[in-house]
Amino acid sequence: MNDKIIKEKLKKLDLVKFPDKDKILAACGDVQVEKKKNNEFVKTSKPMFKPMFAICITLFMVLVGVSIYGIVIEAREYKEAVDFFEEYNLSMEGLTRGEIKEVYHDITTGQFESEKTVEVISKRVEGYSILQQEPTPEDVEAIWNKIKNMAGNNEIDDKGVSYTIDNKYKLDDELGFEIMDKCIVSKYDDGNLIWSTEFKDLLVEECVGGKNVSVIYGSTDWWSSEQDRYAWIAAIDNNGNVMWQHILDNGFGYEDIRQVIVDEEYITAFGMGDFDYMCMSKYDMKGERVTYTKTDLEGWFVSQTVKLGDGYLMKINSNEDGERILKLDGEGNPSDYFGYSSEKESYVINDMFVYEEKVYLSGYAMPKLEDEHSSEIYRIIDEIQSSWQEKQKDGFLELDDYLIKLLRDNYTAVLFVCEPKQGTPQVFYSIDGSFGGALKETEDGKLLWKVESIVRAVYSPFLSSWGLQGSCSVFEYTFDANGTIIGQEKTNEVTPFGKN
Amino acid sequence: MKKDNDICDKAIIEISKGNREALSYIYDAMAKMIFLSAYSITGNYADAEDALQETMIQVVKYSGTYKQGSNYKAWILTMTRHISVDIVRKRRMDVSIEEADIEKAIDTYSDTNMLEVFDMLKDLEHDDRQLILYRLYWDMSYIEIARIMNISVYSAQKRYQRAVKKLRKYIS
Repeated sequence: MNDKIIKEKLKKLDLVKFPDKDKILAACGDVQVEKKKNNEFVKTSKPMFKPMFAICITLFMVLVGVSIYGIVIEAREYKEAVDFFEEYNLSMEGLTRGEIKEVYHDITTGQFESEKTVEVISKRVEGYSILQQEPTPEDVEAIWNKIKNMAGNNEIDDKGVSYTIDNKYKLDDELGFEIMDKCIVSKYDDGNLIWSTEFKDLLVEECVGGKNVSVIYGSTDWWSSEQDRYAWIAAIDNNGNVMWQHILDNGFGYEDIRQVIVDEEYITAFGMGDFDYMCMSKYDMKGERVTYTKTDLEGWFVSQTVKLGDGYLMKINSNEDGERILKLDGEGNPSDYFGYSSEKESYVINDMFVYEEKVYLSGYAMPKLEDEHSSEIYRIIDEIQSSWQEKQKDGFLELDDYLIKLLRDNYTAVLFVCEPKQGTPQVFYSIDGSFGGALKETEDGKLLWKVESIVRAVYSPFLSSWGLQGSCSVFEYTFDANGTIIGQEKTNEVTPFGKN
Repeated sequence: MKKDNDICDKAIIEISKGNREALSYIYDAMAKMIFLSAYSITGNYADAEDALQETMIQVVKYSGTYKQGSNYKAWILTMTRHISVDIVRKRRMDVSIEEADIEKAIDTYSDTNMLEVFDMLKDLEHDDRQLILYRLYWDMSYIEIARIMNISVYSAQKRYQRAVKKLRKYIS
């Protein structure tokens, strides 16, 4: 709200009379251009592309909004574009090399910027709408009862492997406030304690399990913006012994780890350095760092990463430009990217999963926002405000059919199925009134998609954290290896949601 | 936006080859930004005008050092900042830029709109004034702002939040 008022005030600058152009430019008439020295540019600003070095590896990467391709991938992209044209029987007649690539890029990302792009795809994205029952009064009551009895964050799952993280703090007499003392991490299997390990002066954020190893990661303690904050990572064997641990000091003032992927040979950590760089550190099982790559994401940030073959797919987000999927090779070097968007809808992806060599993206769609800086729910809030006086009670709008219907009308769970080579959504499913949740592979090798159906909603402008919050009933959908839906089940699971 | 970036990028290269007409493109795209950035430091219309003129001169002079495809805004506005700080320093040789009492600079040319806006920003440090302009008037991303101001994105975000907080008092 403050931003809006300031912006309104700043608009007065539109009316300011600025210095005379001719007078200013006249003074430049006799200025001589300074010659380049030794045929090299003198660096006056940071280069747009930052070559980042893994161990002896150079990287060039182009991201969203910039259609300049590194020389090293231009030929490959052109070949991909030609393959695409041939696969879909598109005519290349009259198109230049650059125009072929532009059309290919437009079609695969759904963003039609090239003048040459026309609707020539012979195969369209098929959208299947799954019908799901609307919530009944019994559903709402059951959810209300479940919420009242919900446990806290450190609930031990009595099925399979789970971890608990217990961060302990101590009062620092000098500073006068509490700082990290230690963290106790425990591993459980079917509810039985397997091991418990302590870490001093380190903040544990997450635990990931591998075959014979558990990986813990987090950061050094940090209570002031003047301090440096380092990421750290540790590997623990099945007996709870710390095999190795590292504090990541890659020259940043602030570095975090956002995700760790554990496979049979390596433990790979993905994070951000100074909010600018995507950092990938790959360790072997002995804790030796075998690869380190950093890439300037130029305003984007790391969201989620999945392993795909020898490489990775990484979802990246930007406040200005939404979301993209970045393809990384095994060394962490970005090689390509693709997006998902349509004219009328915006998408948010909550989970990515690789199943049977295809990439599945689970999330939700909502009507496209006109103002790119607005919050996701501004249109809903606007509508609520127009009938607020009539519908509110004691400052709250709750358990009201009107509010639930409003939310269900605006959100649709979506499941994209992408061919990773081209990034084209081949088939997708949608379910009204829901959010797409987690994806996983079942024990019998099927793909499971959790969908959160909006059942309860509360709105109050006085809520401190969320503008809109509520609860969802969870449905599970099962797919076979071809991506065909083969099962649907309503579970007893309830999840909360909050939107700002 | 992308087309504007391409035009300005190419314009600087043309300037380096001696094409002075290309300077007009740069002026049209950047003059307002340069002038207001300079004003946020100097607080004075005449000095900001001098800074604008000197910036355009330096664009010509150093066009040969500009790397095509890099961020022309950051390149130009960095020059503006240095020029503006130099102007203020020369005006008040015995104080640091932070201590310079900008309100006391004689300003007979600024119109009421300009004065009103910068009255709102007067309690901010000159870097924070620019930050507010970059973010709220020109809708720049933090990454762009960080490049122009030679700070980290995180610092840009934090300083912006602090600056907005300071302005709350004025707004209320």
